[in-house]
Amino acid sequence: MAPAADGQAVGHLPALTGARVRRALAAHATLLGGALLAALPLLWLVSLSLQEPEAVFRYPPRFIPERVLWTSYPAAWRAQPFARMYINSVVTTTLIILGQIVTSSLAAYALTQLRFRGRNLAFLVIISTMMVPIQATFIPAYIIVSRLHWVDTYWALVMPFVASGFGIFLMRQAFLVVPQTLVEAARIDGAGHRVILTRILLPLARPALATMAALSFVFHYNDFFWPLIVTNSARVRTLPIGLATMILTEGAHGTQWNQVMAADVFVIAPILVAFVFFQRYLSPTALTSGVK
Amino acid sequence: MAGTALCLLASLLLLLATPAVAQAPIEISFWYGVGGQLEKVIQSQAEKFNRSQPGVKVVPFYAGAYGAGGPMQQKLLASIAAGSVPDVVQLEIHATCTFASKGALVSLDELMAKSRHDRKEDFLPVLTNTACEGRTYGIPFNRSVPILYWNRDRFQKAGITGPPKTWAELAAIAPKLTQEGPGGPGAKVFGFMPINQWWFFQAMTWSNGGEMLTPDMKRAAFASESAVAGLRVWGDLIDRGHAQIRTGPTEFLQTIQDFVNEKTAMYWGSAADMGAVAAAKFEWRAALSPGFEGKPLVVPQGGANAVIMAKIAPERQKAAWEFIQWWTSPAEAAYWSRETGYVPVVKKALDDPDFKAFLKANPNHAVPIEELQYSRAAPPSPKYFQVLQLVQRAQQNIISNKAPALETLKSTAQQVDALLAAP
Amino acid sequence: MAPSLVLLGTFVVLPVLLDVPLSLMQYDMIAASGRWVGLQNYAALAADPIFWQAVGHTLELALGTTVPLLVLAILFGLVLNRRVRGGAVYRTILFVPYVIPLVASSIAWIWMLSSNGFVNEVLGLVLPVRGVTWLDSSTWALPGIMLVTVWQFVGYYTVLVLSGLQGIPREIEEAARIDGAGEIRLAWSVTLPLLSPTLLFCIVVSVIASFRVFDQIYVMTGGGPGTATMTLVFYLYQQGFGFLNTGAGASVSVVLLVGLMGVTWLQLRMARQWVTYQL
Repeated sequence: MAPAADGQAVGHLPALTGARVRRALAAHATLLGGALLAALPLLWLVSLSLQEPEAVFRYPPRFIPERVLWTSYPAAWRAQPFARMYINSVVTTTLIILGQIVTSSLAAYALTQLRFRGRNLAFLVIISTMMVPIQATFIPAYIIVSRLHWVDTYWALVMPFVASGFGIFLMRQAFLVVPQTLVEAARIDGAGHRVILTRILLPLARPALATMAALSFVFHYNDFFWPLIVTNSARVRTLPIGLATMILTEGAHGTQWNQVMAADVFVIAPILVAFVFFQRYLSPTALTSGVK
Repeated sequence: MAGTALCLLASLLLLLATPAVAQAPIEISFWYGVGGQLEKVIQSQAEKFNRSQPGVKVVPFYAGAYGAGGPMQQKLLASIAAGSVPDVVQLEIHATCTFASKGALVSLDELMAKSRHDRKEDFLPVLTNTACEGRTYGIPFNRSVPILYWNRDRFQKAGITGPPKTWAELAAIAPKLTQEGPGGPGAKVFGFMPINQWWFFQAMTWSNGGEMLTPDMKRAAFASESAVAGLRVWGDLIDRGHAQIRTGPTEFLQTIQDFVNEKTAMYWGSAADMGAVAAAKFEWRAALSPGFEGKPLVVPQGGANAVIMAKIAPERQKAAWEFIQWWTSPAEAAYWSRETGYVPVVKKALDDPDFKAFLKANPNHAVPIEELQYSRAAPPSPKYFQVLQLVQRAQQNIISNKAPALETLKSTAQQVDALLAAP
Repeated sequence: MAPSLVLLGTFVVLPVLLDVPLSLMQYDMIAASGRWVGLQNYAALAADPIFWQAVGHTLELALGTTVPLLVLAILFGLVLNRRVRGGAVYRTILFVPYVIPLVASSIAWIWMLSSNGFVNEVLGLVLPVRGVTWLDSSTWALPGIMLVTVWQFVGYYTVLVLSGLQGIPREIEEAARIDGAGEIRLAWSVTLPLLSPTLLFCIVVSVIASFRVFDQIYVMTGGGPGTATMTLVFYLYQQGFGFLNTGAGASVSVVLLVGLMGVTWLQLRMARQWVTYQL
């Protein structure tokens, strides 16, 4: 922690040490508590993936497996065409995010920088699209997709989500925080819409963009219902469907829960790993560079 | 001269070409609604069928769980709305009439009459809930009946010789099988665990001489003492700590696991559970469902039918029928039953020597087949599975929320009456 | 602007608009035919006590998830913003619940919420209560769902709050600190107001999301026991796909949409009181 960037005059340093330690402890304690609660199910997931299938319903549950069974992982991998599904999931989700970044930035720009009649109404309509649950829209949406002959293709998985009310709302909030002075200064210098958007607003809204990408990624990566409805063949199907297919909702033969858990682990592992690396983009950008 | 030669040549070429074209198999899509190990059996059977003949290629798709209101039915409804339906579907038996009455399914009577092994008389008494308004629309794909599973080791330790035949007997022995655990409430073993779903309520109501609907299917008939009796037994056992129920959409699975993990000495489940129960490390047995003293045992069936969707081209309907016939041929029907625990659907399957040997080695599997003679069809009303959902809600209120049994059933009956009366 | 409108228009607005006439019909999905029945579906809704239960539960859920989520997200966000060592790891772990497929976490939760499960054990340490039957009980099932929802989203909103915090220029905070402001004062008078656009966003989104909660209920309680966890969306689903009553389902959609729009508009209006965009 560089003292200068922290804004604490060097002279104060010794006097604040005790307080700083206390603060750090308090911080860690809070975070640790939260993290434990959050991580508990994940730890149990991993633990179950290494035990026998029946361990799932055993009480009291055993966190540390008696015997570590690694066999569930390769078995789970072979249970469904996961390799293909990985590609499908990653590709479609990435396409969705790219699309959302583009459409949300454009729309948010229009909503914050341009003045036009019906601006507030447009915003309300956009927000209202966030409110509709999928159960209400999926049948008409499926009919539309079917008429366009997009069933069982990437189009059906990607296009309905490329525009996102959530994304627009988020970007709008981010753009609104940017001081108008900056924008006006640029305009006086003769900058057009595209420049203002790409050189000023977007860089300052990087945390918001990154956040939107992360949240959207998880949501669409884990989406089960819509892909189930619009796809039939393994060629196009995504990971959550593979997961669901491993679970038997009836009695016969018993679900291999350890395999299901193993599959869950290797499905979510990429997201978690990506998220850890991705953190860099959530860092603050100095505002000062713009004003100078 | 040249003209005739040309004509001959042309027709020769045509003749040669036609078989090549006719040899391309018709691809039909088959939507199934089971996952896990069952899915594997379906996939391998589909491949086996495809290899066995050149004319039809079945492409199976997992369409989500097939239960009432589940993702598969939602997907099916969407596809009907969009006008692009699959060819063959594994449709839950209580939903079959709902779809059939609206013209969504092909009627199978003529096809069955002309078939080699799928005539009505070829089937075991499993043609329940395949018909709607007098015509047949489905062929039994997977069928089960309610079965009582009991832990023989624990029974012997408690000095009980055999499974209970009536609910009164069950209520009497459950306390003897209940054990407080040494490690606190988590280690308790219950005598009995029922599953609080409409399927079992139907069984108890019918076995006690009651009915779900009036014969004309216009009004509810389950707000009666005979229907309440079974629930009262459960409620009583639960109150006294000798029984427990699980709740939530995984209640069935959890109960099976509780039995396997020796959390309960008995549970009332499905014939289809046998594969899962086989993981138990103790001596377990399957038994007929308990009935009521002096009254005949009557149970419902469970499972799904194979149906052919109506709006597909005639040659696809034919192809679909080929597949269904193959699936229910005696050898394949026997195979399915052996691999999954569902009952075999055709009589000749019982003659299959492999299957006979299998039954000898696994007497538990013979119990559901025996119970088939006590089973009967649920009322073939197009609104039946809506009725069942209302009934299930009432059951949950009665058992979990301690609502008064008869009053709750009465108010549910009113809702059902309104539902049935609406056009 | 145009691309968003076209896409959103086709895939979201259009189906919603279709819902309005649908709600005035009795439509048979399988036969693909229907007939007009005017406001009959709405009348049936108003007369159904379960519908009103669903409305009540939905509002309870909104309150019971948004408030804890906001408080926790601000707490964690402020702490994480101090660039605590290992912050990235904590952030990831907090985010994990949002990432796990619900099927897997619901198994964990069913165990944790069982009568002798983890939650009761922890509660037993702090309060003199024992053995609430959570998902089996009509009073505690909904709080159980709230608990699971909060757990699932706490990392999500923390990330949002954090991104908002990091959009706040450091110099403003530095300036305030030089002026002698202590931690709490800093947070209250400087950080929070500057965070208010993000907070508004979180509140609006959380309320909307809580109205739409479906998966947890579907997987953990099925609307029960009885109707204890019946919410508007679940009611919609049951009407439309359980009972195949498409017209009724459509009318619930309309009610849901109108209700949400009303609530959101209210929030946005009230936002003028407390949201500052530029200091």
